[in-house]
Amino acid sequence: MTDVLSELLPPCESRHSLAEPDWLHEKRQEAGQAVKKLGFPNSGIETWKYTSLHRLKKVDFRPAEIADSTADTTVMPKLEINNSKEKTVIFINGFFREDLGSYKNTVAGIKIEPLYNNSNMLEKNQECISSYSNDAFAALNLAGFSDGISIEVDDNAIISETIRLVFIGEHRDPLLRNIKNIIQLGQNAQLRLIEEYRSGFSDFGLTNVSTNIVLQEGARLNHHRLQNEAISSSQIAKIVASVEANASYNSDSIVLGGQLTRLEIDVALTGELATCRLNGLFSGSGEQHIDHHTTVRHQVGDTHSEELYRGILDDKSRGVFNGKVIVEKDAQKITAKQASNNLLLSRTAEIDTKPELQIYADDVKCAHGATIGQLDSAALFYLRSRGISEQKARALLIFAFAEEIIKTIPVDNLRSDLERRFIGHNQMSELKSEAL
Amino acid sequence: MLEIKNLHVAVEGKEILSGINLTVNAGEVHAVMGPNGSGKSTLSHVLAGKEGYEVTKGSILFKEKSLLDLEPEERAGEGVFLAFQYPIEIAGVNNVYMLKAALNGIRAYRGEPELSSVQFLKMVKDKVKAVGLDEGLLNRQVNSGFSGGEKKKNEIFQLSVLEPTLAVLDETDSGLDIDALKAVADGVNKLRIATRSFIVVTHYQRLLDHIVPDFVHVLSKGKIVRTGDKELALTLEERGYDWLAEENLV
Amino acid sequence: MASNAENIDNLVGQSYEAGFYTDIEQEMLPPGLNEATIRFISAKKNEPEWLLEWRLKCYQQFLSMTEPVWANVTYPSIDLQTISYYAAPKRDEDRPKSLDEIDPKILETYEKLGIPLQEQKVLAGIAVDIVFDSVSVHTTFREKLAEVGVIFCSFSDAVREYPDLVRKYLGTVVPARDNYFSALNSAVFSDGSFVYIPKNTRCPMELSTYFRMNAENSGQFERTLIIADEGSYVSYLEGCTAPMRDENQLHAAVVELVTMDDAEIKYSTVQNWYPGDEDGKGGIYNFVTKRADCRGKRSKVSWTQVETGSAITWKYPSCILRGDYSIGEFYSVALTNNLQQADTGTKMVHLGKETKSTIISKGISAGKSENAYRGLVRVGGSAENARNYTQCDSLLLGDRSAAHTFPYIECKNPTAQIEHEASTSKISEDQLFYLRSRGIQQEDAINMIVNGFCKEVLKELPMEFAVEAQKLLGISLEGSVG
Repeated sequence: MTDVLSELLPPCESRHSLAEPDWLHEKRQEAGQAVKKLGFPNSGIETWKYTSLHRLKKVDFRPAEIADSTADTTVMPKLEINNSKEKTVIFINGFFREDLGSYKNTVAGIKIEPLYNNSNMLEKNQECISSYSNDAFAALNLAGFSDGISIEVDDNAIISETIRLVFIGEHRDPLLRNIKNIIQLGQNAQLRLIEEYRSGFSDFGLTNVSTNIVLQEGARLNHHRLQNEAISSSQIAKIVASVEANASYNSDSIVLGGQLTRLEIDVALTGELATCRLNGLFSGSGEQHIDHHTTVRHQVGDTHSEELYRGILDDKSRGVFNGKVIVEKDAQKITAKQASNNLLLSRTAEIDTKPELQIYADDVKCAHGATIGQLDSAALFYLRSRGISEQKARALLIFAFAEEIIKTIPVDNLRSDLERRFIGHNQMSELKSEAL
Repeated sequence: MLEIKNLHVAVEGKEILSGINLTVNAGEVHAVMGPNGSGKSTLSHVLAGKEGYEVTKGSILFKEKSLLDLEPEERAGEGVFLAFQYPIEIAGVNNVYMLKAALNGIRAYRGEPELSSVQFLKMVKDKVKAVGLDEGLLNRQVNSGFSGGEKKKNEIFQLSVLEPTLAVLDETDSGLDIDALKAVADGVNKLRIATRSFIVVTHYQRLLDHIVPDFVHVLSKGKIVRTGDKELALTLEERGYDWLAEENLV
Repeated sequence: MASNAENIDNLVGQSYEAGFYTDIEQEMLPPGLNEATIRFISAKKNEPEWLLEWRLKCYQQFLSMTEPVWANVTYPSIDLQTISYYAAPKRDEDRPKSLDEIDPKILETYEKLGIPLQEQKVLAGIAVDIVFDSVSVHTTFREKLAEVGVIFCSFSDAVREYPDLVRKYLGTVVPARDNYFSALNSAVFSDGSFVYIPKNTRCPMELSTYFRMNAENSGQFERTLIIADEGSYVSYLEGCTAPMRDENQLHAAVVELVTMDDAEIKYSTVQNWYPGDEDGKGGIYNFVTKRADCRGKRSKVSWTQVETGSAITWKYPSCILRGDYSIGEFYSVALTNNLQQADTGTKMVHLGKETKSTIISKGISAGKSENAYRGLVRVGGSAENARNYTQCDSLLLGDRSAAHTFPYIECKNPTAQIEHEASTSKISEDQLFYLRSRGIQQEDAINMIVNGFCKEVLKELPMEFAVEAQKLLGISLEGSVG
């Protein structure tokens, strides 16, 4: 039982390593105090209204240690990571495993290193590393992070290789994996990044990951995030992105696995012509709980955002989507679009959605839409009247619903991988070849 | 009636019109032609008083009054009418209601009494037939769900009701098939009277087959580079705008 | 040429037309809230013991509650001890039997408001109950309505004359503990309107209540209860005004509607409480709980509101769609100007099968105002084939106002179909120019566009109200729009 969040803190005197700078040690201590004060978020907090942590509280987590990173790696071939065309960077239970990935620091214009060993990166990002506002899990992340990735792309560097980060959780003990990532793109730099979470079938761990993204003027990041952990694992993730003038942040987030997944994306558009596109797809079955909270802050004029989230909920799963668009004072000539579409496939599934607009400027065009429904019976009938079995027709329609998001993923093998896995997830593996 | 003198207009600091001179007398029809980007639409917008255009030099006198000092509704009151290239859709506002408010606004401006609903509706019914607009469209929301042709006819119908002394038709032919074009032109021709002048802004000569102008002006790079009669339009049709550009170089 | 924004700024302000106050003899309880206050009100009204007990029980619940803070409004905490909980025209002791007996000053007040009070207004087809500060001063057409069995009277009269009906329904739709202000109202409510429509009866005329807050330092806590029995129909209108005073006044009403099988209630509100001046001084705090319980099969409740007044509006007229095939509708225009704040919307709770709800909300923010739509659509597991359609649009006039949309959508049934659309944009410069180029004054053009924007809602109002509402929108927009 983990009744209080502070039980998840590392022993408070311990330094993670002798190399840890004093300021970080201090910040960690402070964050530890904040964790004690804040405790587990409860449903009285607006952003946690629909997500209960009671199941997490039943598990006796312990923070992952460096020794846990030597866990069995024989799962690897099954994950088909080593054959991947992309340059892979592998973490096991929150610790970097240089030996396993195919990426070596030889690509011009980009530097990828484990964050914890990058005192320069830590130093440079003191401020954003240290901030957790009133977020208990962000504070816990700061107090306890073991490692994470640091990615720096030089000004004007256009990285043609796709970088694939794979975070694997696998342990017989329920581990708490605190991971902190920092991604920075210099002016006009471009990068395509896959961030993937997987876990073994016997894993009961909780991944608490916090990612900071800074895109300088004109930079472009295509960020494809895939949560495909076992349905016994859980994840709480927070992405904070700052997008400067002319820069664009494109995020596809797909959640298929995990018992409890909470993903928070907070994007600030800080310069003119900064844009962001947030796409999401989540599919829950069993007793999965999938919670997305997104915030897009239009801080200056002439910034633009688009958002499309699709959810498919079967069995006793529950989905939560909260999308917030904020247009700050004097931020004129804004366009912001948001859509949340949801399919409920079972009597016991539930979806709670809340698309919010908070507008403080007048020259804006903002719109959001949300739909909840089941499969279109007319379409179902049409397909069946053409000779397709009901089961296949349903599968086809579900797939069509999901494909809207999947097809936007520009990495061919990731997309086909997803298509295959997505269809498999809904037990309709022959669908694509037969029906399409 | 209308006297444009040395008109210079800039948009966001960029000069679009560079010294336009144009005099239009009562009853005359002037065609303003020119390639894309020559400043045709700018000229019509400036006449109607649209925001976003900076008059840096020159003057526009309309019936001895400076048009540039007037608000758009005051210009309408003075008798200026712009038929929009892209008529605006206004949700929730009834077409007839809008027109009645407009007509009575103009009448009030001129110190004339308002028309009663009965008088107004009778007039509208007569006029809607004359321009061949489907009567059913009258009670729809302003331009909402109208086809391209219906929108343009609606503009001409408004012209017939508001009875301006200067009508500016901004690319009224754009997006129309030949039948719709003829119908719109017929509507306009019926409205040609000795006290009313027209400025017909168009890219193509074909509209001028149906609305025959007294004068044709060719606009290029913000200036009127050539003025002639209706033959000029035919020459342009035959030889294209490049011909003029070349000739100007010589 | 001056820019549109400047022109809008230059529009001359027009003051709050209902802002006069009537100098009549008042009987007022000194400010303060305690058990004695409640006993005084109850005694004043010769209430039966059960009602006093109910009030006191609600007061106990109220004491354990705190003022809500979740709404998107800011105001200094209200000191409930500075409010007088009972104010009545002196003549209350010998209540008027006909209009001739009503204090002419009060009649004058209603004349100024353009309220059809005189019996000859029968042609308007409206029966009126008038609540002046804490008490109902007159209800017209009671006898005529009684002929068809319709009960329309002040709440106090209902307690005396129909205690069983009141006791059966009071507090069953909005329980006292529902929220801080409903608990307060339950303890101290002074009067309001009561309507009962018997089975299979279509109420022969529109029923209407006008609320007027006149006394200084007083609060208004009225209670409305409408019961539509099987197969009945009623259209009920509500209007409200208050004088211009520098201090804020609290209005915390509770409205409960009950519809049985096949019954329908259409409830329309034009809310024009004093909004405060352009510096945000004074104005009414309008904290109101309105809820309908669609108990019967195929029953229907339709809320229409035009909210232009009040310094702060906090209200969410709701429908509990309990009966199978029941229907809930919410049509709202909320206009805020100057420093007004509005946090308003609805709750549609689908419990029965085949239940339907429609929400159309139009928010207009001008000046430095804050305007928020807050809504909840909840579909329970048992609500087979529930349908909801929501559309909420915000129109911004001027760059100092703010518009917010907070829709909560919760769905537990796979056969439900829920659609929500929202948009926020500023008044279109193209539309303004188009209308002006046709000769329409800028001010009229803005009104025309705003009225067009609100049309879907205004058309739901009964004719007399629609005209009043359109005028109100125009008046409320004038002044510091820009």
